[in-house]
Amino acid sequence: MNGVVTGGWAFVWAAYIISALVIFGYAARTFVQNRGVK
Amino acid sequence: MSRKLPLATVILGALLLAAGSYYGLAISPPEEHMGNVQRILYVHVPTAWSALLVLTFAFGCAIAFLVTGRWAWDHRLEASIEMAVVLCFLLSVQGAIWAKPTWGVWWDWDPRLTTVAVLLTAFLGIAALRHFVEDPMKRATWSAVATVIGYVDVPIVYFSVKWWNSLHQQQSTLSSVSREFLIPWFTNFAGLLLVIGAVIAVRARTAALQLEHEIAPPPVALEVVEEIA
Repeated sequence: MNGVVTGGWAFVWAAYIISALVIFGYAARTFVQNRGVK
Repeated sequence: MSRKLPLATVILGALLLAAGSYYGLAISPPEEHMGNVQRILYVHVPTAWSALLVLTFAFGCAIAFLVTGRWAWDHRLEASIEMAVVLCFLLSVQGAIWAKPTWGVWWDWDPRLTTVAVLLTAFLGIAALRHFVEDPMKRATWSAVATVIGYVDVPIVYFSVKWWNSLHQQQSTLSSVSREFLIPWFTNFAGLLLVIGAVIAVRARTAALQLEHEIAPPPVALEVVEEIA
């Protein structure tokens, strides 16, 4: 133990992938919903 | 507004997010203590800034609807409430993923985490209220009032790390953060703002169309009116 977090790339990738899925998933849903209402 | 403009804005935002994420993952050096886990903050911090901005926009829309009674403000309010729920949820998930390797736990009843959870629950409740109230005027007025009340938690979230003894670190300043860290932060923030702006505009337009359908007389009633005429 030296007070430095080592590794952690799996957490980094998880955060980036989940962020992209949530943001662009919601964006896609919003655009599709808009087409459906017209 | 052109129908292609929001899509072009989302694509531009996605390109900026890709550039900011590439810089944050491949070019920016690991932080001295947090190591590579620090790279999560290049998406977490822009999400937090965006969430606070969207919540403030929702508050502004709520006040504007209550003062003017114009439906356009209610459509923008509906769009921003939904976006606020998405961003607060994402903020909590990103925070949990960062907390596990650095704090050793996914969750702690820390003042910052708890006040964000309250915010998420409050706006989830307002979104549910909009879903269940059928009368458009009651729905708009009640959700505007609830948004103003819910917004009280926003300054508490912001100042929670200063007011109470918190595990969560205090806000950084431009002078306390290296340029290598600021580039991905601001690039991702700009990209996120473009995506969020375009999505709120499209969602507000959908809300306007839904209201038009909702208050339009049913086809049978129209036929009766035509027969009488």
